[in-house]
Amino acid sequence: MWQAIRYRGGQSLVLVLISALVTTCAVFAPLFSRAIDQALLRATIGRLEPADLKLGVLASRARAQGDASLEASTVEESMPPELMQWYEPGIAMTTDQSNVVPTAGKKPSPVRLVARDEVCEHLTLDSGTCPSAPDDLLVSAADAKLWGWKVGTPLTVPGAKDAQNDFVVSGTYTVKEDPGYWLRTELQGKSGVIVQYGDLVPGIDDFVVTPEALKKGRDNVQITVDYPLRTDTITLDSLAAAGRAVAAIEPISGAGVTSPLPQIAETVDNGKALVRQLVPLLIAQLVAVALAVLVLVASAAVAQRRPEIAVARLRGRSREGSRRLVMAELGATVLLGLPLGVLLAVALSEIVRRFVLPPGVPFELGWQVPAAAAAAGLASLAVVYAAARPVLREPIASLLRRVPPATASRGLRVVDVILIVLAAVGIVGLLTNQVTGPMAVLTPTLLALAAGALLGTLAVVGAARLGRRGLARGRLGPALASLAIARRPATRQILLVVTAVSALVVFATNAVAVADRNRQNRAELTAGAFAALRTGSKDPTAVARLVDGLPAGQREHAMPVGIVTQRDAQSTPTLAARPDQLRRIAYAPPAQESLRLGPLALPDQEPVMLSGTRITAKLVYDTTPRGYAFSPQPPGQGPAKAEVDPKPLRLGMTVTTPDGQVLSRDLTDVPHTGKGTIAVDAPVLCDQGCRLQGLWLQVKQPQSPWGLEAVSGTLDLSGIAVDGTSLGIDGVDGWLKPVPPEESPTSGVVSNSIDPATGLPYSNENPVVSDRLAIAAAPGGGLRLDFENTGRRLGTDRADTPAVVPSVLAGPVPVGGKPDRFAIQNLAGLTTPARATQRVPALPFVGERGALVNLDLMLRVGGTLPASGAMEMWVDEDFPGGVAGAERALRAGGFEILQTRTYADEKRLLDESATGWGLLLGVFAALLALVLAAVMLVVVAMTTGRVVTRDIAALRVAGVSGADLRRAALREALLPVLAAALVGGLCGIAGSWLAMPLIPLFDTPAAVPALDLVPAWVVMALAWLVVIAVLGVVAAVLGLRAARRGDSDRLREAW
Amino acid sequence: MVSGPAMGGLPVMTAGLVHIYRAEGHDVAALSGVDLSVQAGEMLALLGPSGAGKSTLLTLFGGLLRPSAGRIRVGDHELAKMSEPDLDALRGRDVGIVLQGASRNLIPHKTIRDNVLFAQGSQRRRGGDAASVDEVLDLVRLRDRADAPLTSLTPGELQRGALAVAVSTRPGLLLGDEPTSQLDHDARDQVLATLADINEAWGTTIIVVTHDPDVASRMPRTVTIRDGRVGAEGRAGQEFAVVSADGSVPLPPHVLTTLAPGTLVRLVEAESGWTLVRDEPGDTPLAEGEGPDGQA
Repeated sequence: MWQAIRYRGGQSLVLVLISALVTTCAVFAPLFSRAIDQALLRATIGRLEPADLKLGVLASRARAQGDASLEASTVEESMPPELMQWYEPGIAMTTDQSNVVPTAGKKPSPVRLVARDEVCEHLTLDSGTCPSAPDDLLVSAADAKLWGWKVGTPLTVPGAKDAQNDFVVSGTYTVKEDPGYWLRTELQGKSGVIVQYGDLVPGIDDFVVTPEALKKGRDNVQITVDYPLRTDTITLDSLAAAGRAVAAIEPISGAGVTSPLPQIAETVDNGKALVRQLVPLLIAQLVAVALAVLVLVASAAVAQRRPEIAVARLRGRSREGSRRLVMAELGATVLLGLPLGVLLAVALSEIVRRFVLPPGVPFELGWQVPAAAAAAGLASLAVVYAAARPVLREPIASLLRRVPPATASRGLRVVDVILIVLAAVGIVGLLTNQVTGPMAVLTPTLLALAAGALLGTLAVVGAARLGRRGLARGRLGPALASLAIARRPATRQILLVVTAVSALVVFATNAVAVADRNRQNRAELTAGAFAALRTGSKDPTAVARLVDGLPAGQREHAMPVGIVTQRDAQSTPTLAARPDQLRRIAYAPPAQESLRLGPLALPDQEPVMLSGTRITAKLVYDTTPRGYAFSPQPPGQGPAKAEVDPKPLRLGMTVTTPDGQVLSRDLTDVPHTGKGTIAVDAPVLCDQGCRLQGLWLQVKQPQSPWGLEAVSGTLDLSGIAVDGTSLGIDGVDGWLKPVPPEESPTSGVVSNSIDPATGLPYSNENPVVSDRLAIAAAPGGGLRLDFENTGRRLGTDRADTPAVVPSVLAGPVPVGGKPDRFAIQNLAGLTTPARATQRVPALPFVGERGALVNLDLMLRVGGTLPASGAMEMWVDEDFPGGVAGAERALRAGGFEILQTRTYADEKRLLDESATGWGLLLGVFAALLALVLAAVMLVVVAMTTGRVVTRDIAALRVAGVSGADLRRAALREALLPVLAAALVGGLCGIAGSWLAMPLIPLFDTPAAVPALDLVPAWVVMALAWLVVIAVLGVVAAVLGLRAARRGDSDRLREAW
Repeated sequence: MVSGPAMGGLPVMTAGLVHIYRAEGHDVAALSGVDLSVQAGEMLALLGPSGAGKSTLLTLFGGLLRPSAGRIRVGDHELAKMSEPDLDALRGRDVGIVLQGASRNLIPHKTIRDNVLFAQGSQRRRGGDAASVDEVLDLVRLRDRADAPLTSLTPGELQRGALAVAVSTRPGLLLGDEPTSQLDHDARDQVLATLADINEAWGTTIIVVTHDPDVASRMPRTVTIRDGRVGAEGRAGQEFAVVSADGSVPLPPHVLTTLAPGTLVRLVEAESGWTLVRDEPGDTPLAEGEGPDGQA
């Protein structure tokens, strides 16, 4: 047997190699899946802070059913000891909320007393010592400085009965950074910050005390014990066990347990499910191709052993005996490939583990490895057996023939017909969504194999005709090549395998490229720009000013962006940015219509800035009151007496300050009746200048009951000036048409009035008055306000901001709105009417829900960001110094950076996912398939080489020139490869079109951006060219080698 | 069941042997009624033009094909009635076959010695008593080259190696298809001498197919197959027409050039035997046949 294996060393080596590749595919799949699962776990854990990974137990004396003596040690003792194999020892912390009067005469401020394990080792003691007595406490260095506390300063922190109330400062502390210890516990950060505690009072950092200080008289004590996770102990296997152990915890009464393990397990399980979907999709196709190659190679190997089988039969061996001989040799050969294949798979998975997956993925050889190797071995043996069977069943006389009988007709074979039918069923099933599971997964490969089989039939018939026609026309080279292609049994093998491999390479590379493109799209959308730096500032103007003030070279690559979100996930966040900068710096949302940002442009009207001390104007009024006291006398009654303000009508203006505050300024009061002129002269009260936002009028409220319902009339304003300088705003043009108040008290249903007959109030369902305001040019020059007012503020705004903010809207119209008018929040967090100038599926960063508005418009409106708002600086990739440079620039401007979001990080997050890693298998599949095809070409050349070279030798002896023979040999070798690569490429495109929707591209599906499954044409073309280049070169070299070896010596029979 | 190893040669007999190759679209009758009897220990050369059916006849002797009709017997074995395993066993011990082209008889990655051992394997597994390898190698004069790689052997040595393999089980019948083709004179002579030695040593019946007149002349008996039948037989350098079982006598080719098909002839009894006379004026005798008893 070994003699036989050695005799055909090259062929045996190839057989071993192919068997090894089959084994590699089979073994690598579970190894890769397992490694991805582990990587997913590591990545999920790695993304979380120690504080997010801890097992937290929170107990409260108040909830512990009256157990006022509950202590941390009791909580710790209640925990199952087996948890310690996954968790560090617990860090216990006892706290109590109380208050302290920082200095005499001040109101008490809230303060928290904290006793935490080993706390002093994680504090820098700026002065004094760690508390050791029950009345010792540490105060923060910030508080010590603020309040003048020193070591020895007495402080009273009241508790309940028997509590330790009187403390002495034993030292001052500053917290050392140690996230693994503090687990997001913050002792500092409150000092001096104004907080609501009955009144507004300055906050105070936590007081650090001994546990004894909290033993008595502190009924509201909270006890937390945090167990940091030993992340290195958490593997796929231990995760479930740890999760079970955590779930089995029975905390003491009233205590709560929190652990992220269930969520981590769910994330990993979701990823594992995706991996189980992806890996078979790609590996099954590769294994199918590998087995097809193995079938062909095994068939060729068996065919080469025909003479030996014949000799064995001739010397009296039975069929069974001959089968044993063949299987012993070929079976042993393919089994030799098993260890090599396992080694290759392990090496590959090791490469993936070390260089692709995140650190910490353990090296594992589970039971799946020998099982997969055994399955691969059995499959290989079955293939060899199946390949040998037809030959072994041949009659001995047939085996003895020098030229093996043609076993197949030129038409379609049964196997071909089965392939075509299966492929057709798969395609129709996929198109009609009737096929799922393995059939769906294998359809692209079945399609390629069917196309290869069909191509084989057509090529053989076509080549025969072309060959005859070529001979008739005297074109010897093409004719010889065509005839050789037609008569070689290997032609069909080559066409079948190269078609399948080309399709797989094109399909796999396309899948990898399309997935990468989609991850890129999603990362771009999620990040918004190359980098987005979220500041701690709530002042949009300040951030905008800083960005605008960046030096040239930086300024062009940065933009300020305001974001206001709301708690409700179904709400519409506001994204405020400058259109031109957005177009230049932000990533355009992919796979959708371009953003039309023109309608978001600022109005032409420039803002009116009030930079001075006093505003003056001339006001001509003509007013009339309305109300029972002013109405015609009711029948039979005298005029009623009404106590009302003689000047009840206020005229004022709104201004926005540079820091975004919206302020109201009274200009003058106007009488409710009569005509006259008032010289307006009012303070502006804007030290740093303000923007004039609008004018307003309002009847003062409350007035004498039922005396004054409304005031109507006209106010003509002219000569509006600041410190004597005209503002030039007397004309109507610069003002917006007033918008009627949506909830006018008199425009609704009911108003209260006095029944003239009874003198009692009654409900008037048809009110005669309503709030209204119109502007017009005053006859005598200036701006006329024609109004009727019941007490609700009416106003008109300057036209430098539109009444309804134009926006580009992503997602549905906010609840209660219509596309032409809906509510969004401005940068102050106030509701602002907006309209959609364009509806798009997605906007940068905010994604599928958001309203994009002009930042400058929002800045004109002004305001300080609410708690849910943030100002960011977005930069493009050309910002000098990159992300670090942008961070430096912001910090240099005095801004704190809360978070930096980058495209690279978002992309990495998506890349480091089950789907991201799983799709890498496509590259492996493509490469391995290409190697398989190249090996198959070599095998075919080796097994048919003797026949081919003899043919060539015979033709040479017959007088065909060497050049003709070389050309013919080259064509014979190249044409089938090129034709199959072409058809395979087309099948790959069709397979991509059919099967890409089956491939999960993300671990968590996103509504936007919509999956962009358009084939990656360039990548597919490149992959196809690589296939042609590799297989073409191999085929050409083999063809030329055959031509060179086809000399007359080949005609002699020799060993 | 097959009998034990042949002691001496096996007789071969065919009667009305017919073999038809079934090909797509048409049938080809390779043998159309061969009656032949070969005595045990006899050496016989089958002659005839290409396509006459001699190789088919040899293949039938070896049990490699089954006859379409007629009987064929090797020793006590009626080959047409034997099962395939029995035929395998027959070839494993009683019938040695040398195919045309030495390489087709040898397993290329084995030495001559190993090939001989391989060929004896079947017999050994069946409990038979094969000849010793050295005895076989001595017989074919290859002992000193028995362990050399096949690629280092000359064509003559390879052919003798093929003979060694074929006779490794000391068969009662040795069949050779062109055993001397592609050999130079010396090698051919060595092969023929080896055949003679085998025949002499073990009494093996030897039937070879050959085109080579020199080979034929050195065989005690020749049978010429023509158009699927026994056309003539030669003994001690003399050629005879053979009367077949149905009474027909195939005429020699040179006579057929004179007697066109349809020509009427008469057999005229003469003192020396029978005379073939064309039915025309003068009754010119065209050929004289030799009686079965050998009389002219």
